[in-house]
Amino acid sequence: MSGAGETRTDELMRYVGSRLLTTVLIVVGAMLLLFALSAVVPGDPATTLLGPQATPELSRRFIADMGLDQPLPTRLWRFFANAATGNLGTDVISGRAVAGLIREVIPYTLILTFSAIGLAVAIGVPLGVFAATHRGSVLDHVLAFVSVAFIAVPSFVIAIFLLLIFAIWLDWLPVLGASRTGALADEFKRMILPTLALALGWIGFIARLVRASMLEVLGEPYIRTSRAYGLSNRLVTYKYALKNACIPTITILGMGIGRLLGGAVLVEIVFARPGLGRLIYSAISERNYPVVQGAVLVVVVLFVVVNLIVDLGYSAIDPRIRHDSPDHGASG
Amino acid sequence: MPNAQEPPEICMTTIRFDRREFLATVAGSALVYAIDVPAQSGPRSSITVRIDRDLAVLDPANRTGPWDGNVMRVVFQRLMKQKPNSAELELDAAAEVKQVSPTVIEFRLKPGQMFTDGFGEMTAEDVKFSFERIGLPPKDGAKESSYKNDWLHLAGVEVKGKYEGRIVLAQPRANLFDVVIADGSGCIVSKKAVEQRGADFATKPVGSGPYQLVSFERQKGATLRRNAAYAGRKPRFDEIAIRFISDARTTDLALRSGELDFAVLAPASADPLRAIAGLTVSDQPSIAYVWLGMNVEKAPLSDLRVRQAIRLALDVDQMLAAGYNNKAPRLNTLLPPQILGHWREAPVYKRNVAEAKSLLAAAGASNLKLKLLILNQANYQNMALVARSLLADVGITVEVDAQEGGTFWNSGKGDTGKNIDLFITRFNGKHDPNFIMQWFVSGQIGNWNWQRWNSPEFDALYAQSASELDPAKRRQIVIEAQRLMDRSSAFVWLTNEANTLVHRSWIRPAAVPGWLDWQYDEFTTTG
Amino acid sequence: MTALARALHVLRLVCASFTGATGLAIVSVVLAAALFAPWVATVDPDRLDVMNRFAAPSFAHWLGTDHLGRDLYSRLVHGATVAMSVALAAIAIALCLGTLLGILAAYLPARLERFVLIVFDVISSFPSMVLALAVVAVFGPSALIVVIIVAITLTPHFGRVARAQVLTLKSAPFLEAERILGASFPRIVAHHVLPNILGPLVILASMDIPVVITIEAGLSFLGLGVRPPLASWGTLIQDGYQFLSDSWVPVVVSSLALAFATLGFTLFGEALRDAVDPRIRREP
Repeated sequence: MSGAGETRTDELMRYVGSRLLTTVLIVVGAMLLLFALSAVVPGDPATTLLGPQATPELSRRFIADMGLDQPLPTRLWRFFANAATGNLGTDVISGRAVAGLIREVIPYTLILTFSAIGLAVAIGVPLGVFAATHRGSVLDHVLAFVSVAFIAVPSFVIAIFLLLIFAIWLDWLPVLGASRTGALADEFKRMILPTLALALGWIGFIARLVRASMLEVLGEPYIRTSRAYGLSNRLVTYKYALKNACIPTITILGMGIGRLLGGAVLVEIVFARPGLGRLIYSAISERNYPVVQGAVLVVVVLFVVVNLIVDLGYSAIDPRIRHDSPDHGASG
Repeated sequence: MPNAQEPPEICMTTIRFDRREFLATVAGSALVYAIDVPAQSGPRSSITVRIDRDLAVLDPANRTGPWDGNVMRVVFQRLMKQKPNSAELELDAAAEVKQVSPTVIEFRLKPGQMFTDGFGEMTAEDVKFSFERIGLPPKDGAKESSYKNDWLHLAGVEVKGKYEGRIVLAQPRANLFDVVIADGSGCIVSKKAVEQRGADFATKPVGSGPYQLVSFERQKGATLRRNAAYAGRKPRFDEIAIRFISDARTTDLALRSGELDFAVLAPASADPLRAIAGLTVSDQPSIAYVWLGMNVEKAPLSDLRVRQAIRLALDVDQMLAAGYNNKAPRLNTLLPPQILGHWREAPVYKRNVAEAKSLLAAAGASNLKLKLLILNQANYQNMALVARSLLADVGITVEVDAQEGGTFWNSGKGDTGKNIDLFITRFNGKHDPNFIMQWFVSGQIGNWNWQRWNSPEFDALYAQSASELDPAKRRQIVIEAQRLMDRSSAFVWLTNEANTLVHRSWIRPAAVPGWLDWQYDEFTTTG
Repeated sequence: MTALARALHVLRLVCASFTGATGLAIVSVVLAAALFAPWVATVDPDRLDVMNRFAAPSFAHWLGTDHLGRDLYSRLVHGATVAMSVALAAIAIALCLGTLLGILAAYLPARLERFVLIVFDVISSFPSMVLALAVVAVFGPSALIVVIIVAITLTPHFGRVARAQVLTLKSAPFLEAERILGASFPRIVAHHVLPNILGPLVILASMDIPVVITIEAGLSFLGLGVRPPLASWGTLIQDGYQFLSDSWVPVVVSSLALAFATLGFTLFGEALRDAVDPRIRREP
């Protein structure tokens, strides 16, 4: 609650400070969960990779290398102490620095995520607006079916059908989602299908969301009053209704970006494309915990930072939100 | 030119159609020119190969598996290596190799073999360093090698001259040449490079082999380029790009689209590609071995009759049809046909429900409930489902327990190991019977002997065969060991698998028979 | 208006719109298939006939057979049962847990409330794939594990919405009145809070059913789904995907089933929400 005489800046600073604290606690909490899980999951890198070649001593040595024989608080403390200096640990199998591995892989993930979200917004928002302003029309119903179909079908199925249509039947685009040579044009071309596979589901989702939020506003009395007073339909639609649709959409986008950063595994596997999701997946399968820890930290930090920006962004738009509670948190 | 008297609609249609067509042509040609892989169908000097596990460590001491090994063996030289497409050995880095006594091997290197990146000439010091860093306890804080057991009984390597040296063993090793000297642990690294590059050596290896590694990206793959300084047989391809693609479906599509030139697939995945023009599909028997094992320590499987009943209730041919599309050869004993000591007269068990039922009745076992542990991959799941249905016919209820990799491979240890009932698993083989037999000795109970089979006779035969240097005598010992395994009825041998190669028709791939160890430097073109 | 009369009124509104009616129809078909699977299916979905794999659709096998010769149609129908059970169980658990935590969070002192919200955010930010892999590695894959994983992942979602609902409700005068009159906290929650917030939550839950089914399909793709030989739409899609080059029928048919079910639930859920939400402008 704002005290008497507190300026808007003070209030904003308090809010930011409080949110930052929460962010730190979230990151610590997530890593605590991960460390707890890694203590109970059976298996070690030696057994998983080397198979029968792995002797019990070798397994024990890997476990000791990863610090898994240490108590949980020690591991947590050491991990964060190292992370603060930029040392995310050492890949226990190849001996490389985890930070280096992640740095190699992260451009692929970031580009894919933001392109997919960007494409989803670019197509989904206009579709949602159209469906809201033409409510009940045939096109609205068709869009309903199509967008839900995109949400429903799993991303790897969409991916395989995209590949079959565009890479094999039409032969317009390549199959493999990453370039061997690193040439920009080639990378771009190979990015198209994976982006599309990820974006389609989000397009459907955003379209439905925008439509629903706009319809909420369009039904409000003040809209009808404004229209009665002669404000143009277009102004009403775009200024008020769309603005109302922004907030939940941005929230969802914030969560979506965070999810995609760590979770586009299926698409990455189908398109043989490097990414954080695939790195985490293979590292867990190998029980290569340092890599898992480093990568999960990066994913969690990116997720909370993105959501923090989103929250701060619309708390600037809508001051009411700040007064609600100790911490808003990513809603919806 | 639109006629002024024409209705506007037709005018618009004409223009729109032309524009669309024009754009399509432009876009199409732009795409064609931007494509990385050349579309021509004839032989090229660079090919792209697929692997299904990511490359991790290219340092012989810490390699993680055959996929690392295949790259290592063309980046580094060994004293001896396999001839193209054969398990027979020929000289590589050595001009001469002599076994002067059961425990001493003398070698002399060829002069002038240069390491890449300016690390100088290969000398006997490099050989000593390479072998001892794996086989002997590590010095000054270095990590122990995962492949220490390859160089078991190594006493040391003595350097006698710039190119001459002696390998001294504490005990004779019958398989030293096949499994060690000509394999991964026999790769000769540059001592200077390892000392200088430290941990980086794993991703920036320095060798003297026919190829050198020019790029290595985790999750993507690596690129090998021909080493101009290599004095031996020149490899046919200047560049080999190695791509990591875990999904078989994607590999199939990439082969069709021309982005891949060579891949090894499971027979079921490869079948549809047989019809594609320009691609050759060939089935190569593997030297891996797959079997259904039983935990002999756990009741009711501790009763021999119950195990025999299970063996008779199963129909291996049907299981293979489900698991491998009928493309995998049936295995009836431990050692695959290509290995010395393969027991050709091993009994071939056919399904006999009546006898199985009577054996169960005699053992007093009824309404058995057993768990079948498998890896959560399609072929094992399919075989397990068939086994489940077959065993249901004799009154045994089977629950399929499909685990993911890390958990599955850890199952032999501790209490989990004691609680296993049935399991289907697969081990990689090598061209040496002892390498394959080692997992079934009593010392491996609680580790890799998931059957928990304790046979002192087998242990004795194993030890005998390890130091028997006469192949004929060794064969007899090994066959006797396989007879013991058959009598225990704890093993239902399934298959030694088949690797299906799919490649451009103008490529002739090469590997040591069994297709676990590929020979990149011997890949060539037909004709 | 009694509860029943209100429900019927809502139902009528739902059926009034084309999308709502379609959604309801599809949902009914799916639920019927799930409930009456043994009668709707034609043969035992587990019966193997390896020699008859990838058979074309015929009178004996309406949709043909899969890679082990099992009847695809029967597996699809039983898959509906598994999909529905897993989805409904997971959502029910998440709904109960989330609502409980959400209500608690709304009434607890600020520190504890913040703690609950942080727990929600930790679960949301934690990559669900890591959670799934870890849990499966410890306990082995099974339908129950899928339910638990999905329930944990969805709880924060319901929790936050429940909390937001309770917060808006808290300031309502009638609640204040009840408190002043001395009503105990559990009574307030049970009689006044829950009935008012449950509506939107249930609608949200119905829209999450397709999400759960898709998550299960993704888990099956990674080999973490239900235990064989259990048929779930996720495993059917995954099996069909593996053998796509042998026959496109399995993957297409199971994907269509999943798409239609999702369509039905989403349309029904949206129509439900449209019918209940007073702010949506309705055509006269």
